[in-house]
Amino acid sequence: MNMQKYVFTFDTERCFGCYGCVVACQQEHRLPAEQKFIKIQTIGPVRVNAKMTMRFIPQVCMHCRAPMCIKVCPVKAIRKRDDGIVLIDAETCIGCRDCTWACPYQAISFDEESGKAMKCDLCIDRLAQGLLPSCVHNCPGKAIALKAGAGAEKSEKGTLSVRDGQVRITARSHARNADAIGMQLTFLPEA
Amino acid sequence: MSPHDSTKALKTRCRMCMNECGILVYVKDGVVSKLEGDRDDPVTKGIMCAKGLASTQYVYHPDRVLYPLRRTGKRGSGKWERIGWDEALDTVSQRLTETRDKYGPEGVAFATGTYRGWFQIFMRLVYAFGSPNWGEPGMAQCMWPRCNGGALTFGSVGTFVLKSPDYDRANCAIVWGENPCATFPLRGSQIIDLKARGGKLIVVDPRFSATASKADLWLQVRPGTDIALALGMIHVIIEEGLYDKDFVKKWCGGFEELRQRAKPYTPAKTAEITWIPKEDIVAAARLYAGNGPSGIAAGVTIDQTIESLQFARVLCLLIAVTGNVDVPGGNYLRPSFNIVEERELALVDQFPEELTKKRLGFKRYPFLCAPISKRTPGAHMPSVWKAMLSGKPYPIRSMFIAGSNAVVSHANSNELKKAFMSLDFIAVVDQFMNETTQLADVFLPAATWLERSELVPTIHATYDRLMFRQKVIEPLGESLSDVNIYGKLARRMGFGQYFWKDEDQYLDYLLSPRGITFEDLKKMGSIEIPMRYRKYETEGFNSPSGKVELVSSTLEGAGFDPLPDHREPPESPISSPEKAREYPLILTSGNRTPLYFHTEYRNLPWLRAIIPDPTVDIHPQTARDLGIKQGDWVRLETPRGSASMRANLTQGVHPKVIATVHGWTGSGNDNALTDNEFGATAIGSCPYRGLLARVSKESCLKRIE
Repeated sequence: MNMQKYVFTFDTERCFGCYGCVVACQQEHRLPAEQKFIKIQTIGPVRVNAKMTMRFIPQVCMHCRAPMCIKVCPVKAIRKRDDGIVLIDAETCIGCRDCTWACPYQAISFDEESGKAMKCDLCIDRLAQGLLPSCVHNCPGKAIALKAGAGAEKSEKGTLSVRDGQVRITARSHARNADAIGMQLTFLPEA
Repeated sequence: MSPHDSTKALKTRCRMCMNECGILVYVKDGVVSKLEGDRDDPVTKGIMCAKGLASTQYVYHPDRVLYPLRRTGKRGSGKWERIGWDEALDTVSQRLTETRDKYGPEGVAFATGTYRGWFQIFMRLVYAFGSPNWGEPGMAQCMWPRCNGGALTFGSVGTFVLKSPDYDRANCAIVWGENPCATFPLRGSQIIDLKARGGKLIVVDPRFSATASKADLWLQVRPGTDIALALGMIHVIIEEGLYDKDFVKKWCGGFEELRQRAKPYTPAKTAEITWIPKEDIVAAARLYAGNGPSGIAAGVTIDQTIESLQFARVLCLLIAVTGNVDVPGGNYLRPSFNIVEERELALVDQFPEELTKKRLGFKRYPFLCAPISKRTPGAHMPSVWKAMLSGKPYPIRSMFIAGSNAVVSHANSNELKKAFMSLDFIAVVDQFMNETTQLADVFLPAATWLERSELVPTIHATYDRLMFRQKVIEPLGESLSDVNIYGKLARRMGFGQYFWKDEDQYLDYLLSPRGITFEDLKKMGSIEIPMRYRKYETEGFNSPSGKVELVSSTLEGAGFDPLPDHREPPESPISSPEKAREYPLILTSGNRTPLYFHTEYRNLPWLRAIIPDPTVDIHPQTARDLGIKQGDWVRLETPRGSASMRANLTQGVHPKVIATVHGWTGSGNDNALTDNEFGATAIGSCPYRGLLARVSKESCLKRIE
């Protein structure tokens, strides 16, 4: 039984596409330019119900409830911690890339230098010191948030929220079908 | 708890762009290991964008020039040798002095780039040297029209009235010709907050920008016709009686004249000029006037459009007739920071009149070039390039360039390259080799913002504070801060008495009116300047009439139209139909991305990986007609030159409009397309928005370095 400790949320109403999270993460994890644990996709501009619309959405590890990456990993290098965070153990990883193909969000990258799969670890080193993940800390739009403990999800009305991997589709958000293999984007007009 | 046990976390302000966020820089053994937003900062509260977060790749970039260099091959050959500072400074001061002796001080041109903490001391160097001919890609094309427009209308105080509205107290905001979500992360955040508390947002932009995507009403204006739109809105506001009758009666002069000027701009007529549906024009006017307090954010577009000064003025008139001036949530008239002011520092009022009159553009563009300008007067730079090439009206033979990739950032860049190649001597102060600095004779390596100390007066209304940037590491290699470089040069050229021994002494001088030192300011953290609204009730307006001058007496006295009016851009399907047959698309150039700051940061791997190539926005219908697909390399042409970019197919532009991003070097430079022949009335701005162009598919793949 998982503890469901963290709620990682992304408010598409607040994101204005500055890419701050992308570089914050690269700086924190000292990643080369081509390797990203979080990416931002632009949806639109497109007319929806006669109104021109554009949204920015993240592509990042959802720390899923039933992660496909764990299912496909042949050497059990990926595990889900009690607090819900999904981690890849670099020592065990054999670099087969199965997880990078299995992930519905294409959120796992392959590090050419070490020959291993890598992804968002929710900045566990920072969390251990009581600090927020770097993408959350620096976000200019305050669009990305990490909340801990019970009741956190209640405040996420009208946003794309991921509660321990369960994607909540709400009226004002772009959302993804968490069960699909291959990313599927659903665009829902504003309420 | 610090995440970096053996590391110091130093508070400073980022300077990767104008937003100047409060940040923490982690330094270990004199090396920056990481930067992040400072959650305790009273202004930006911990935010930091991609540019700032990539700063380590900037300061420690392997291509950074860390030693003075002298060119050994032909101009532009790229052959250099390392020399010492003494030799470098001696050479620069000798060569500039030689030119001055031979051709007069006007024969040496000075150029800088966008505002930095050392901008004013650069001006002091120019004025002390005695050259009337200096400038930057901004000024006429950034801030000088907006500052002068504000000053002509509301008086000399609050020249930044148009820069940033009091977002946090506004019920409605118009973002006009700006994309703060890409360029000012704090204001992007303030706009989101405004929307979240139920406020209304109107965005005027030919392009569906990130900011436009947050708007209640997006007005897709035809590039270059904004004054007509503003007059159309004023028409609705006056004729529907939505204006602030008490404020207008008591505090505004020239209301009847304005009413007459706006009369022909009916919604139908305005729609015809601007291509905006007339219902939207009426709705915008009602939303802005009826949901006060309302603020207007006027972006750099204002200064880069035909009749820039009057464009700035007409927005001030919208603010005035709705009573939104100097009220909470409106456009705030910022009082002085009580530090040494720009004009005093730049020695403007001590400058000899005969040299002022020699300044190129002096007669034709007084609000740029003459002391009547409320900002420090500078030259009309297109006239400077032409003088370099023709020797008329007098020769300009040497140049000193600091912090500017001028041949990329000025209009009609092909002309600049020719002009620079023809010069006797060029010295540059920079951090990198680029298209401009590679043309120099001597390269002086400058410190980055992490290696400098500076005052930071905030440019965000709502947060009126005097803050600081501090040196967090020693300058790398032999690089020096600009303040030190100019001081050393001044002493060699015989006017060292106007300069300071080091940065700290200079900063103490700036702060002297407040009776504190830079060390004091650092200890205080920052100085809050309490917001004082409706100052006019006790002090009046600082204009000649003491009122808001809807009709400007100063403009009238200088022989210009005292009221704004629409003028068709010199290049448009309406004003030049012949040209439009050859160049059928309307070009709006100079768009911004969140990742780059003007010509900078294309060399930072983290940023370049996100946006690797220059792009042009094209409507899918237009692209289909031209056989262009998403991502294709396309060739853009205007009568001035051509550029190569990748096509970005988007419904966010009008089928007849294309939009380019500025700052790319080489063949991706959109300033190869722009025009410097036309100058806005009274101020000489080059129009970057609203030109004619054509697009075709490139025959082979190209990649821009």
